[in-house]
Amino acid sequence: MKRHHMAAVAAFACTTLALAGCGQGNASSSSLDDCVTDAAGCNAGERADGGEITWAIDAGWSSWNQNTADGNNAYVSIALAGMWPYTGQWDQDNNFIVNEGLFASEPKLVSESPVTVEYTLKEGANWGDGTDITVDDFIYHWYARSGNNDLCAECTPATTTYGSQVAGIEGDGNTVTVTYVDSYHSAEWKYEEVLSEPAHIAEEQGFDWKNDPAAMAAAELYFSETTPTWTTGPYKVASAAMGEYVIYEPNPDWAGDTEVTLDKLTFQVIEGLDNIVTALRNGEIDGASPFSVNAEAITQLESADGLSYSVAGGPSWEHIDLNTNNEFLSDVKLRTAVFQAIDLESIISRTYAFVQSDIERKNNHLFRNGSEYFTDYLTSTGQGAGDIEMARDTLVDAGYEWSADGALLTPDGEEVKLNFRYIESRESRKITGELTQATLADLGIDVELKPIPDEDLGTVLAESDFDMINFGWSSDPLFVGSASQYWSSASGSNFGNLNDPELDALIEEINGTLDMDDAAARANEAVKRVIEDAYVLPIVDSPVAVMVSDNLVNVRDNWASQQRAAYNIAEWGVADTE
Amino acid sequence: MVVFIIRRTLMMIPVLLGATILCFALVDLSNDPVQDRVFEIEQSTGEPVPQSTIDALEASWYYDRSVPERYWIWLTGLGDTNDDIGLLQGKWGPSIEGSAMDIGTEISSRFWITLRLVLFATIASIGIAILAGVVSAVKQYSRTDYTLTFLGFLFLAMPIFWLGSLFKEGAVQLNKILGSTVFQTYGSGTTGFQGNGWAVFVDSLPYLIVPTLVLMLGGYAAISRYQRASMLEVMNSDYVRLARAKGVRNGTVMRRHALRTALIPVATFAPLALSGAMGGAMVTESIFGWRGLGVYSLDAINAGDTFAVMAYVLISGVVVLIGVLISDILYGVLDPRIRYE
Repeated sequence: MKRHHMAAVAAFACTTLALAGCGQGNASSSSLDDCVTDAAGCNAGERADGGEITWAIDAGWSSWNQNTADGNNAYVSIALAGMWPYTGQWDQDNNFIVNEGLFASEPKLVSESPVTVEYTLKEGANWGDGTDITVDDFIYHWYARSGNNDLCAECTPATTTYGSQVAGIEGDGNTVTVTYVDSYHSAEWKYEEVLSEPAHIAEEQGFDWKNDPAAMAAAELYFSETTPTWTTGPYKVASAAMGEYVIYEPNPDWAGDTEVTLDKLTFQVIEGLDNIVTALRNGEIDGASPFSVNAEAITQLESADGLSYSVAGGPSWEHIDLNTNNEFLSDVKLRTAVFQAIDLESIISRTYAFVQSDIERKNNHLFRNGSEYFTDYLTSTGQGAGDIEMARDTLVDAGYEWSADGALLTPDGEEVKLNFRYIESRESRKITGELTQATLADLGIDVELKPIPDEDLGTVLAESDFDMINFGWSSDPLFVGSASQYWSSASGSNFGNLNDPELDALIEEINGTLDMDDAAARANEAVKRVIEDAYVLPIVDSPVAVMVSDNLVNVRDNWASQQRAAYNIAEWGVADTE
Repeated sequence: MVVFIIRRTLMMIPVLLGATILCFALVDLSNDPVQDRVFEIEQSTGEPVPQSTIDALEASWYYDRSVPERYWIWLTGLGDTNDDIGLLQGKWGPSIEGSAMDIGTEISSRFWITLRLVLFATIASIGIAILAGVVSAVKQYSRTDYTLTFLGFLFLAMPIFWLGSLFKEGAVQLNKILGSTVFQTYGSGTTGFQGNGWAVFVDSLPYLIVPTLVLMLGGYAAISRYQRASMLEVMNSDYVRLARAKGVRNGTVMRRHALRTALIPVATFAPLALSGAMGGAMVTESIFGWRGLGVYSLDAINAGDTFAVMAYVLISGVVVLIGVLISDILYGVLDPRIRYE
């Protein structure tokens, strides 16, 4: 008996030692579990020389050119992460990391009036075909995004915020200077995207883009339709099919310092979260960072062998908006009471918390909880607290009354009725609507739930066909343009039609300083004002997940980058087990 | 016969025209892809979309015209166009997915992907259905008959999306047991695989097995019931009884006399089954990530890509009508009682 016991102990000890041995062999020094405390450094480890990774993207794309309206989305951005000339990347801790393959240093502000920014190209920064990056490439990008028919005739740029503000670009060797128009005063001058497509290839294809706006447009079309063989990144495209896949191999001419270890990197479109999780469990792919996640997927990942995952707040934030053109909601007192009655903690615990157990309510429209610029102006107002008594007091003060059967009546004696809209495929939004309906019933407001087919959200928003609506906005660490886009009375994205001259003035001021801290303070003033207007109630940063095979290292999610986990693609690797 | 074919072919034109008008109105009136695209871009860039870009999108997709005008331009290509539209001129119109996504190219490449999936599934389902139907009929009211009948109704009752998900999970578990990824669950071939037709086919086998099985079982059940009923009817007919009375061996009676006649309904049903499966592949393609015609149409409908939907409607309409035509012709060829005057 004793001998058996000893044998068992010995066997256990041997097994433990063997496992420990295995553990030492796996050079991964941390795992995705560490992302909660070290979002920018988790799952780090030594990489083996060689290996292949197949990464799933959850939707396809229909253009290779991110300048254009057709080609500007997160999916193409991920697919082209290996070769696109980004100015830099934000990491998870809000640090901006300049593209090491392009620039020798951070952009420098050489003049404040007009704003003039100097870029120093890295020695040897090139397009992967032996051609150096030059000032012409900067000028090409400016023309493409100018929105000016004299520079690019009938082009369809996704955004002209940068291009329309450039007054001129000059180059001298490795130094390129961008001069902005006098009215440009963005604190985010350092983060502007200044490169996109190679000017020399446009010329090789016979497009006289510099002198002929029509040729410039034709060049943009060419880049939209042509698989990029050029690259400024750590990888170059070996083969690709539009909207289906991109297969990368290392770019030997990359000017960056990080050593690329993978032999092959494949981005493959797999549509649907269920399909991604199944393919990952089946070993068809090595990882993914889809733009949505649900409790069922998490359950499957938990029980899968050889896989790791991490859930955190993603790049999109959920919110409830009110339509100020509605006959009832035009009254700020009613809007305030509605927001005070909505119980966000209850909503979160019944929806998003099933996916991310440590999820927090979002308390600032522009800055994430934990950001250096974050200030909570919301909590003290009671908005989102689910405080029916406070809401009732607000309404009583404003002259509202209740009928004998408990229905809320305006000071004019009209019964308050509202609708709540959400896209039908999002269960969390449906539950948010149902809970809001139940809560507002306590306040005597009859709320009708009106789901929206997924494809009609844009139309419903543009036509302001809602009283209350729950949808999401994408976010990143940049904020200067956001307030204007969301709330300016002149903005086409101000879907609830808020028209507050005081807020408009505050928004104008955000864009009037070159200092980030000052701009953030001004942005917070706008946030404070929009809370007073009871216009938009933030809920949470929508949870997203990164899911990977256990043998991958240096792969982690990044909410702050449009490329998500692909933000540090040069560092990706297969764990060195020797 | 020739007159019959010509007459039937001419009759297809108003049917197709009616289908396109109805579909065009349904898709076009229920969507505003310009607004949806603007919202998507704003989500992506975090910045307002320039009005010039919105105007250009409207012009390039012909959303600066009325619905009837858009339909007329799509059909004829007559009027002020960007020279990219007009069915009668062989132009499918612009896709809202962008200039790089040519509708004609997409439709033709995806047609073959769907056909590859559907052809195998239909042939297999017809083969199994004939076998099951005959066995059921010959062994009527036996345990085998009951078992085959039960399985037939079971697969008939199972929604294809559920059956697909079930088989997909089964494939994952089987791979786990085998310790190798024998069955692939997504796509129609290895990403980026290049080769000749045979090499592509061999490469696609691990991707083909499970969805083919799903599509096959979904289609098999109905045909097997047809076959069973037809076989029973023939077996009870006078000429079969006569053959038996004359002392012809049972196997010969079944093979030469009964089965040949009993196959007529299934043979005429086969072209319809094939064309029907082309439409039914939509769900299977979605579950298994086959980038075929079904998924293309689904994406187009969701995106409100009117001209892409129209292309699908036209292609699938033509396939169905050709299926009906072949089916009608086969009736005459196989059944001597039917003659086309």
